Amino acid sequence: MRLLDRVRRANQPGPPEESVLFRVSATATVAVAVLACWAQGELAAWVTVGSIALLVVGNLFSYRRRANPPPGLKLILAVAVSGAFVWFFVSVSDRTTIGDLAAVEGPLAVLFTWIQVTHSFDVPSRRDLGFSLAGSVTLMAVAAAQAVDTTFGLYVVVWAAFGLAGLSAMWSSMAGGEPLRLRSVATSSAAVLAVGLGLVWLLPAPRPSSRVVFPSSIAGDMPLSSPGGLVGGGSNGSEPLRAGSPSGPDRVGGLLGFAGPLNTAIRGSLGNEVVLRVRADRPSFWLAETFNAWSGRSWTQSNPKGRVPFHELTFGPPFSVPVPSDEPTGGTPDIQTFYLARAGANLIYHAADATQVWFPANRLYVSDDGTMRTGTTMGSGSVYTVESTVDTATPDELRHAAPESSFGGRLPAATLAADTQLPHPYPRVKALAQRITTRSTNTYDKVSALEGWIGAHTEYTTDIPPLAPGQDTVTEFLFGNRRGYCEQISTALSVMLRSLGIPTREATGYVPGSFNPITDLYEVQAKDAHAWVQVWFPGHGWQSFDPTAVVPLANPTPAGALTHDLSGALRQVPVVPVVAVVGVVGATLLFWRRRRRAPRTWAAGITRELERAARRGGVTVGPQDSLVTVAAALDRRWASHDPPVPGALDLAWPAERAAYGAGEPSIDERRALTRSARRLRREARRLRRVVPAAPPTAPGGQAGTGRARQPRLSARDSSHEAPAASRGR
Amino acid sequence: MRGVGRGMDRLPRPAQAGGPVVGTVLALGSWAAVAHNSGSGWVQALGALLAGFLLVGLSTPALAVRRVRVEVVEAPSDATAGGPVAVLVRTSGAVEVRPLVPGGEGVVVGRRSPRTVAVVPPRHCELRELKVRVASAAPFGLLWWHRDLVLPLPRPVLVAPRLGAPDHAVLAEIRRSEAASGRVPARVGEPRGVREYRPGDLRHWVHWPATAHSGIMMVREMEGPVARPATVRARLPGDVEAAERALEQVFGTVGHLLARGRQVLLVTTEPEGERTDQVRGVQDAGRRLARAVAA
Repeated sequence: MRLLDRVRRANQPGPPEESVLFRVSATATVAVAVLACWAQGELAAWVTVGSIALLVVGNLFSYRRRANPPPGLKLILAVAVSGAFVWFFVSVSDRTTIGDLAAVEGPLAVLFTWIQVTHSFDVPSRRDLGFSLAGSVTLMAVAAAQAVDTTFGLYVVVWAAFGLAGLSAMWSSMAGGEPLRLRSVATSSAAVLAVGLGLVWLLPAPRPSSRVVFPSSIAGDMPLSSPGGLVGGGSNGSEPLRAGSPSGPDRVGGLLGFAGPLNTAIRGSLGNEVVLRVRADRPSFWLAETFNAWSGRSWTQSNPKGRVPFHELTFGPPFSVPVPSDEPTGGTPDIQTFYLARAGANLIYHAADATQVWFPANRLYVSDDGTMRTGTTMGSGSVYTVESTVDTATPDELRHAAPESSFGGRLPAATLAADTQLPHPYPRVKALAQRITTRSTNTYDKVSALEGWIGAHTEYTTDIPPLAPGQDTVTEFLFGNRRGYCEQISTALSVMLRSLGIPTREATGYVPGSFNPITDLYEVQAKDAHAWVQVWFPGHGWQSFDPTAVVPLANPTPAGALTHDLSGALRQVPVVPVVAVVGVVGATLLFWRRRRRAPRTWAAGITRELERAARRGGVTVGPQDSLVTVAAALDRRWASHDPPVPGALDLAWPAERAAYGAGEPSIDERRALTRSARRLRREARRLRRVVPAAPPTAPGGQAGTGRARQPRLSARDSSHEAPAASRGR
Repeated sequence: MRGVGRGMDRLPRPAQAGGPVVGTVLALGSWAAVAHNSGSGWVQALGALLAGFLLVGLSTPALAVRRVRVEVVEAPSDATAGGPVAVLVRTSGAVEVRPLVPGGEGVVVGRRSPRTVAVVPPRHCELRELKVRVASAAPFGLLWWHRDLVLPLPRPVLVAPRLGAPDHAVLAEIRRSEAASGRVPARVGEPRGVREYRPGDLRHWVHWPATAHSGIMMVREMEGPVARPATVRARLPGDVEAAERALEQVFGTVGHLLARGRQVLLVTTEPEGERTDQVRGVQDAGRRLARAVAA
């Protein structure tokens, strides 16, 4: 019975909420959350528009009937919500598998929106509006689960602003209609933001759990005219990926590097647009293709006779990628989810050696070197997840890998031949490589020595002329202008290593990109396309080396990324203009402050100077002490000083007389009095040191002028009184 | 002089914090689990923002309560026990001010204008300060924090006891003592009886019923108060409630006497010692009794 009473009491409607601001803010908060779900593709446009319209209507209805909610309304709304729950469970059970959270989120967004809409018809009291605010959080959470780019931040900012306004209005209403204070709201906002940013800073980045189905979806897919072929864009399934535009080989018209051949002779420029976002446990090179056949100008993937270029994987998702027989097994598992922001090549990017791929298709194509292609074009919005194994060998382990002589025993002869192949002997390159690696006894040290030499003797630039016909890329780079970018640099290292008999291959893909601490995604831009070298280490397989950037990659944390971004942003700040602006603003504020605090009349000025002199001279000034009293105390304080100090009373009397209308000195006299008062104030500190110490003097203690008879002339008082006197003359 | 409240509690305390705190912990914990398992950075960022709202909303009221300045700017000089005493309270921020000693209804006082807080002293006293509970849930209204303050009143409020029934025994005693001392015939005063008309008597003194009854012109005979005022002693027992009842009776007695135009000499024991003084009216009597203490 007691429990029943408590339930009944808890469900009693509260007093009607009168605050319109609170109601509007709560409605707007929910509406923004609904819009956020729509922006993430979880609500259809008509559902969104209808929901927002119903939200507004419902809240208007609730406001009008807040004092007397219609009887039976709760029952109708309860039935409506129950129906929505039934619909939700039916839809979820129809379309999802256990753990497939992504498939649940759409119906979940609809369910939450429906609950908010029905609830909006019954929000008479403060508690109900509070529930609306809290409910909008769940909608935002559903939207956030799908958000991968920073544009979602706009919704978060607007939602948080309305939420803040709503909460502040709620408190204002609780406080009996106390008006909102801008300063208070601003302080609260700053505090919320500081705590939020602090938590983002401190908390480790979230990682996908292996207990749920990884996200994958495909957008803009069209079947390829040649299964297993390489296409770009997504606009035309039969258009092969090309490395150069039809207008000539010196401009890139297709996707640089992600083509059948990697032509190092052509030049191009890459944009800043984000092409894909990656959620991963650690930063890696996002590998697209590898090449092992070098022609002197281009890299291609050799296709030994009798071997199928691509294996078709038909059992999936997830597709299990076969591990090449020559690859060592084992390593650290690493999961990456790729979100394509632009239509791209039908390549499956991955880190190191892919083992499993979650991609919503019937088949995938995998080559011997691990390059993976889809059977359809890849449009913007496609999502797939790859699990890789990463061999995290340390330099020492690589140094102690099996000697080069055993290569033949580890790599098949055909593979070894293909991976050490050179189009011509490269005698100068070989001599140079041998000279650089004279003191190196193992593969790792040789790679490091060659990387060091390249780093010391070449320059990185994308502004190099196209390779002239007949020229060799490596010869031109190492013995010509020694300038180039990743393709020339990595090719040079690869050829130098091959000239020493070390198996290498050229890899293309993307560098990790910039880590976004809010989305916890690596944002890869078109300009992050990269080429690097993979070197074979017996027992460890293909290990990546990036001679273009010898600085090892750091594993970023949210804090590190924020610091890096902040320092980067600070470096972008134009120091001189900013300092100039700050200086001007500061000087203006200082001037304004001084002017505001400046005494309005000369009498008030003298009052202030005498009060300062009293403080400096160790005379305690009480709130009831008149100016003359203070001046008398000062004179007593310095009576023993030789030579005599200008009398403070001589300054105080004229000021008091002027303030109370008993007589105004001439301008010259006023100036002289003001100067004397300033001098007295300046000397006060010195006099305090010079004159023998005495206990702090209270002005009224022995003053001849009684404090009761002498009204205190404070700066404020005189500013009110004196102007009248001075203006009158 | 206005008194700014001084704190009794060093630190503010949350009120009914269990629900909000447990709710916050559960919400943020489950949120963190979802954020971690979904792998979505935005969910985590949104959770961090939510945590910001909750943490600021739960903790900032403590600062507001800690920093708020409360003062009583106006208070009446007289009041009656059991009746509301309206004191004007001003605060430096929006807080709820709930009187504790004496008790009263809580009122939210904004920072812009003072508000009247009604306190109800249950017994007579000389009220020099109020003990109030200052509470705030600013800026989001998520959790109330409170702190007890003692607010000095700008002037003491003398809370008189309730006006009780007069003590008839005391009145009878007074009458006896007055009869012994005799009363003074007077032209004005209290009627003591009727007598035969004498030349010079005023026309409105004629007592018509007695005249009709006796057949002789009869007039009212008046007597003036005795020269010595009636003395009422307020002797309070040790028990607080009994003392209050006794005071109410004394107040009733004094009121009764004063209403009849009698001069009253009130003997009370005040904190400074015994005081015997003539009271000038009911208000004066109330003030005297407000300060009365047990001997």
